[in-house]
Formats: sequence, C-alpha cells, structure tokens
Amino acid sequence: MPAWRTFRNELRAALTDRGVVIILLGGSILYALFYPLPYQAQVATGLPVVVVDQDASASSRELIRRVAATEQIRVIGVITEPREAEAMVRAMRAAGVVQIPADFERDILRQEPVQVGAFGNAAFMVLYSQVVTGMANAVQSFSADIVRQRQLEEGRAELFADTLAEPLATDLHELFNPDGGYANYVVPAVLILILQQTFLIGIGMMGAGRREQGLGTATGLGDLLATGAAYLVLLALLLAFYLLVVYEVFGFPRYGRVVEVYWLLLPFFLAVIFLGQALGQLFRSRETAMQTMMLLSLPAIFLAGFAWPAEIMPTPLVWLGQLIPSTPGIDGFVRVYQMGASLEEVRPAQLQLWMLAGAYLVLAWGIARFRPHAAVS
Amino acid sequence: MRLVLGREWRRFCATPRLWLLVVLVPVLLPTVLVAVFLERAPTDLPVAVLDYDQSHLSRQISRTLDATPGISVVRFPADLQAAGAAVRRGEVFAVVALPPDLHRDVLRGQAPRVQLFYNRQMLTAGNVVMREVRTAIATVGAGIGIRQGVFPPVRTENHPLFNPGLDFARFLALPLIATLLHILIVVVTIDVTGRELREGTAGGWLNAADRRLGPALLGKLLPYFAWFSLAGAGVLALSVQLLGLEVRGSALLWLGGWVVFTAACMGLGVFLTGLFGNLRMATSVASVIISPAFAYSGMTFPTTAMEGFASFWSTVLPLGHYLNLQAGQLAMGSPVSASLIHLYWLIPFIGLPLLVTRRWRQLLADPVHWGAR
Repeated sequence: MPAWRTFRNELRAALTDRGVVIILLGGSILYALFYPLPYQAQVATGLPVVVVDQDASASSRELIRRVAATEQIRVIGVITEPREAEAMVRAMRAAGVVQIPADFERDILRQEPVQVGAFGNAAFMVLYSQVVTGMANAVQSFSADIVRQRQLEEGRAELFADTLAEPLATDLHELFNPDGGYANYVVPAVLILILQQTFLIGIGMMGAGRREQGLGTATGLGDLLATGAAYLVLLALLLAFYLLVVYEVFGFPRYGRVVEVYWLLLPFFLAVIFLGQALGQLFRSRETAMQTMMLLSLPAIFLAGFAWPAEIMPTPLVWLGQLIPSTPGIDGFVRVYQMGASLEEVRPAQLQLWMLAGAYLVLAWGIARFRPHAAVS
Repeated sequence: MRLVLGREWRRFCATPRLWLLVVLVPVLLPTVLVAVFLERAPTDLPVAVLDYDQSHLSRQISRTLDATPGISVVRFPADLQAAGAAVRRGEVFAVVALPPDLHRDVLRGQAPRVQLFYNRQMLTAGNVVMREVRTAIATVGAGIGIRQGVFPPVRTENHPLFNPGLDFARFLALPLIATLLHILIVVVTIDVTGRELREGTAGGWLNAADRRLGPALLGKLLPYFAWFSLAGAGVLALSVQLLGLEVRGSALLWLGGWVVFTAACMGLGVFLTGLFGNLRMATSVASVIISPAFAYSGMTFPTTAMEGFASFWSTVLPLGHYLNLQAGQLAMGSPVSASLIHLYWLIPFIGLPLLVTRRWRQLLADPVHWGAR
C-alpha cells in the first residue's frame, strides 16, 4: 500500500474509533482545561493566621495591623494562649501563628532586641512559605520604621536612617514566572505529559485493537512511519490548541517562540508515537493501554525531575527517567517556552529526544518483525 | 456467594494481567516513589556569583553563600548575559550580582544593594535558592550593622511546625503513594466487573450467585477489598518506616481511614461500570475523575485558595478527604474530630453503587449489553 494511503487509513481509523478518539482528542483537550483549574489563583493569599498577643500594647496592636495588611495573611483571631493557637493549626483551622512575647513594647523602648515567633504549618510547603513570608515582611517593615524613628529622634538624615535599618539589602529579580504563580510552574510540564499519555493510550489501543480483531499490524518500517505520520498531524494540531487557546484562557506567561517549540517537540512527538507503536503490540486488550498509562502518569512526572531537581534522585531512577520521552520533553519545553531559551541552549534535551525517537522506532519495528505474537497482558 | 468467590479465584489465577495489577504494581510503584523521595532535602543547588567588587566584603559574601546549606557557588567570571544563558541552560538556579564599590558603599553607609536574579519558573528550587541567598546576605548585613552599632529592633524567629527540617519532599511521598494506590483500586474494580460484560461472561457470574446481584458483586469484590485494605495499609505503614516519618496522631484512625477509603474507591468503580456498562468507557471516565484528583487534593496547593468549580470539586473528590485525614493523623497529630469529618465524606461513596442497582441487574441479565468495547 502506498504510504499516503496508509497514512489516510490510519487517520480515518483513529478518528472513527470512538474509544480512541475520546482519548486522543477528548482527553487531550479536557485534561488541558481541567488540570490548571485548582491552581488558577496562582498564589495562595488570605491564609488564616491566629495571633498570640501576650503583650496587648499599642506596639503589638500596630504589628498585628501590619501582619493583617499583608496579602498572604488574614488574621482570624487574637488570643493569649499559645497552646490554643497550636491546636488551631493542628485542626487545620489556622495555617500559622504569630507570637508576640510579653514585654514586647517595653523591650523595644529599652532598645533591647525582640523576637517575634513566626509559626507556620510546614506539613504543606505552600502554606508554610506564604504564611512565614507574610509575617517576615510585616515584622521587617515594623522594625525598619522603629530604626528610622530612632535615628530621626537623634536628628540624623532620613537617608542615613534607612541605611542603618538595613546596611546590606537584596533586590529580588524574578526571572520568568513573574508573579511566582503555581499554575505557571506546574501546568506547562503537565501539558507535555498529557500529550504523551493520551497518545501512548490512543496508539496503544489502536495496536491492541487490531490484534484483538486478528488484523495484522504494521510490520514494515515504511508502514510504521506512515501510520505514525497520522498521529504526528494530530499532535501538531493539539500543540497549537495548547499554545494558542489554553495559554490564552489561563493567561500563562511565555517568553519563547512557537516555531522553536515545534522544532524542539518534533522528536518528542516521534518518540511518543514510536513508543506507542511498540507498546501497542504488547497489550493484549485495548483497555490495558489505558490502565497502564493511568498508573504511570504520576511516576513519570516525578521521574521527569521538574517538581524537584533531578540531582537528588538515586542514579538508576535518573536513568530510568531519561528513557521516558516526557523527561527531556518537559525540560526542553519549559526552557524554550517559559524561559525563552534558544534551541542552542536546549541542545542536549533535543539530541536526547532524537535518540529516543530513533531507539523506539527500532524497538517498534523489531517487535513487529521478530515477535509478531508478542503480548504480555 | 461461595461459588462466586471460587469462580473469581480461578479467574484471577488464570489472568496474568490481574497478577500484575493486584500483586506487582502495589509493591513496584510505591518502591519507585519512596526511592525518588528517600534522599533528604535537595543538596546544594548551583548559584552563580558575579563579583564586580572584588573586595574583602564581596569575597566574604561569596564564602557565606557557599557555606549556606542548600546552595553552592559557581564562580562566574563572565557578564550578566552569559549568566542569564547559564540559567536558561539549567546550569545555575540563580545569579547573585555584587555591584562595584559594594565594600566602599557599605562603609560610607550608602546602603548598596545586592542584585539577586533567580529562576522562578522552577518554583520549588527557585524559592529555596531565593530564601537561602536572602538569609545569607542578611546575616552578613547584620554583622556589619552590629559593628556599626545598629541591629534590627524586632526580628522573626521561624518555627516550621511538624516539619522542623523543612523536608517537604518527604512529606509529599506518602500522599503520592496513596494516590497511586487509589488509581489502582479504581482501575482494578472497574476491570474485574467490566471485563465480565466485555467478554460476555456476566451470565456465568450471575448464575454463580443464584442470580442475585448483591452476592454477585460482594462475592467478586470482597477479596479485592480485603487485599487492598491490608496490602495498602502495609505499603503505607512500611513507607512511613522507610522514610523515617513518625505517626503523630492515631495510627488506628489513619489506617482505619485507609480501609474506608478503599471501600469508597471500589464504590466509585462499581458505580461507573454500572453507569456506563462498558469497561472502556467506565475506565475513560474514571481517569478523568481520578487522574487529576491529586491536583485538587490540597497537598500541593491549598484548597482554601481554589476558586469556583475547583473549590467545589476538591470538596467532592474522595482522594482529598483521605489525604487530609492522613496528613492530620500522620504529620500533624490533628484532633480526632477534625479528621472524622473527612471520614464522613468518604462514606457516601461506598453507597454510590446503590444508585445504579437497576442498571446493574439489566447489565448482568441481558446479553444485549455484553461485548461492547
């Protein structure tokens, strides 16, 4: 059969198979719109915090006012008993506690250093860092004002007073993800994983379905390439939907160029397609493809090392992760589109993707050729 | 019901797929996750320092940064452009620029400012680097202040409750293992029930139960329920041991919660198979519900910050309730009453199949419904 006809037949078969099209198109689109929803707020603000005020002075009330004014924190109560406050954190009614010690105002007036306790629920990273950052900012501005006031009372210039409040300061410049949004961090990586998983399922189902019906699967190299091209077209269209629609709907920042994303992801798509063709010959039934990929999504995203730097994983797992197309795919995509890296700067990831594509093509071809009846489950 | 049990045992033994799913996967996948998270908090993340001052002070800052746990300094002779490229290539997570005349300006009291450029796209690593660099510079600054006779009048003292080492990764491992098991339980429940319809063996199944729906479903699912309750609790308890976590609340409530959650997952599975009467369709829909469930659970991003549909969905999904119960009893030592609320939310899921009993009767009795793929 000429390659063009093989391509057209595969495309038609995939699009008319209800089970497959639900996953390939329905799944890819639905998940991409469904996944970002919990993170839509981007930054957790107004987290409940309880204040333990053991001083009950004008100064402590001023500090509480400043804590309440931070965007991270909503003060839900001012009490005097520390134990009660911790119990509220344990019961998840408060995310943190500000503890103002007794003699707070007296020590400030005596010019003795004072410490304010910043307690945060560190069982959850976002809760802890947001709450403690809010408290630190409030205390820092409160403290700087005291220094400023002392210096002015001693008759020094305001400029000099600022210096003394903070002799060496740090200016923060966020590179990329300007508002520190959680969705901006997670979703780009998840989008790449979604494309991989839905297409591994869809292509796997097609392969398993053919075997179940006793139809021959593509065995020649040319057939594998021609059928693969059908999925490549779908992947290219879905990527356009992600980059144009999904990014627009959720307002994700981007610093890269669409053309470069396509160049980068071309070998990623090929690797996914050929891996799908290889796996499709190993599944005994269509549903197995779906079940397997549902179970592997979570490990795949953590093996990709985007959530936490890969350096800390044991070496065999790092290698295992490098065999999954999404690992270099996510890494390269995030660098190019979210961080504006040039293709030159992501060359290692790109090279790895081409190697994976080649290896999985050989694997798919090898299985088709030498083990025509292979199936594990 | 004994006939159904015997029949299921024979089916199970003859199906390699079920052996893999039921016996191998619950051991293998959690092992991978435990291995991913076994290492303690990230070891030194690379940071580039651009020293335009080359003074005693700038070198002191470099040394302090290098000595800070969590980051390591990569000396970088080139300019900001090259440093930016290093960030994009992933060689460093941040660039610290020490401006010219830093030392002189500090001595003159002109409040020089250190410039920190950090990669916020990699939010977790970026925030660690940002926090560490800020603390290190503030420490150096405080030293200068004390020498000049000034110190901050009020400071915060951070107390990370429940997690003094700020070892967030370790706290994520257990929720992830539970999430994997929850996907597995739903998948297996739909598989063992839906496969009978797909392969047209549902008649034999119903006959083995004297053509009664209750015994048919219970006889088929009770062994899996017992297995996943026990094996799941075992895997979770073992992971707690391996990761060196301690149970701060009630272990009984935590593992009891697991058993109820197992039943809730199976209830959801039986409901979906009944509703769609088709293995493939039920699995597809289950995937839409359970695959993104972790994102809605509040373990990574707080549920209180979710809006609209996400807020609603996070309250409805069973996974979030179990994970909050687990976090409460395991990490925080929450009062029983706070965790019981989550337990109550799980119970309706066990009864979910009751909504589709009529449909289940039709599915099992009428061969018209069999064989759909």
